[in-house]
Amino acid sequence: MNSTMITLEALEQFGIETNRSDIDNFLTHLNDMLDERVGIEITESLDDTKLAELLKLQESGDDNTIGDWLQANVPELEQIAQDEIDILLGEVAENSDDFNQAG
Amino acid sequence: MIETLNPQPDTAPTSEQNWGDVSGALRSMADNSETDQPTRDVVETNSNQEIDQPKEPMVSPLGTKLVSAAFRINSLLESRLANKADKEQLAENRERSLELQNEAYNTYQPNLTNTKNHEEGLRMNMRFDARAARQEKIDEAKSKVRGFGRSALNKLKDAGLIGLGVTIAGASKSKELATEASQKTKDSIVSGIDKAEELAGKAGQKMEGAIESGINTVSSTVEGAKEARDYRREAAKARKEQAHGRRYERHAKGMKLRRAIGNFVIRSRTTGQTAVDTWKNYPTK
Repeated sequence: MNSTMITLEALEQFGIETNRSDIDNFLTHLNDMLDERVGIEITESLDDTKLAELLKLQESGDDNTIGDWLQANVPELEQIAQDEIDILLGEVAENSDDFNQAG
Repeated sequence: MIETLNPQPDTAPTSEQNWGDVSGALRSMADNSETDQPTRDVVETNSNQEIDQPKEPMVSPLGTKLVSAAFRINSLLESRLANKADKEQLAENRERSLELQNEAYNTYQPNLTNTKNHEEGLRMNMRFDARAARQEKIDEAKSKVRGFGRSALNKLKDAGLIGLGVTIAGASKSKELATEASQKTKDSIVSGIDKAEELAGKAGQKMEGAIESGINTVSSTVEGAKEARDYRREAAKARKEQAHGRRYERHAKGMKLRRAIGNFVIRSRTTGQTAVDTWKNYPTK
């Protein structure tokens, strides 16, 4: 299950046709991609000790606790997440005509 | 070692370098639309090709970074498992009675010989298994990387600290404009027909003009909505470029910090060695 940050409304704003049958797959793909990019940035920003700590915490499975830990230990976490959202949406905006034509 | 597994770009990535990820996905969506295959498979396959099939180096920069992150996580998990296994073995040895320890020692040499005979066969099997197991571990590590991102995004979204930006407000406005345009078309035609029937004859010609004018108004509203959409696209592109710049700055800062730590460690070692040499030479001076 991904973070569902990118919504149909966000795609509509760039004129992407959201009544297509494959739109759910596309949304899932975009949200997975966003999770992945933010995850990579987080991993790169942590040293091995902190990363090992985070892995241990992840095994506990408590998403809220992990979120708190990330906020406390990842420098500029908000900015990282917002930048990755902006980058992905920018790419969607740039390619929205291609997507409509491909349908 | 980590640094070599996780190469950073020397220059800021251009739009074209990052363009491929989504455009590739868009193309894949189009290609897969008939077979209904999820696009993730395409991205995953590309990432995997880097590990297993060096003949096809069609890996996006993002794929390479994900594999690097997965390698780091995997090596940490493996070292943790190895430590745990060592501790368990030690505890087991301590619990053994002297008799059992002697027995284990006496059977050690024959066991070793038998093991050597089996080793070659096992090695063959292991080669096959290791590759599959390695891929499985890498996949597991990638899923952990995605998990970090998901946890962070959920937390920040729930706290209202991140969002899709002001552009969403523009989307609502755009929808409003489109609805308005559609309604105006309907109204103009209905009212045009009613009035044309009522007035008929000479007045009919006049109404044609009125309908045409109504359609022009509608067209300009539709044009307005298109303009608003284009503006939002442009704004999104501009925000993307800014975000790229900040991401590049963060990476550069991180590299600088790691380099500074490396230099500090080297200097400390040198200083420490100098202190030891001074101490060693002290009695002779």
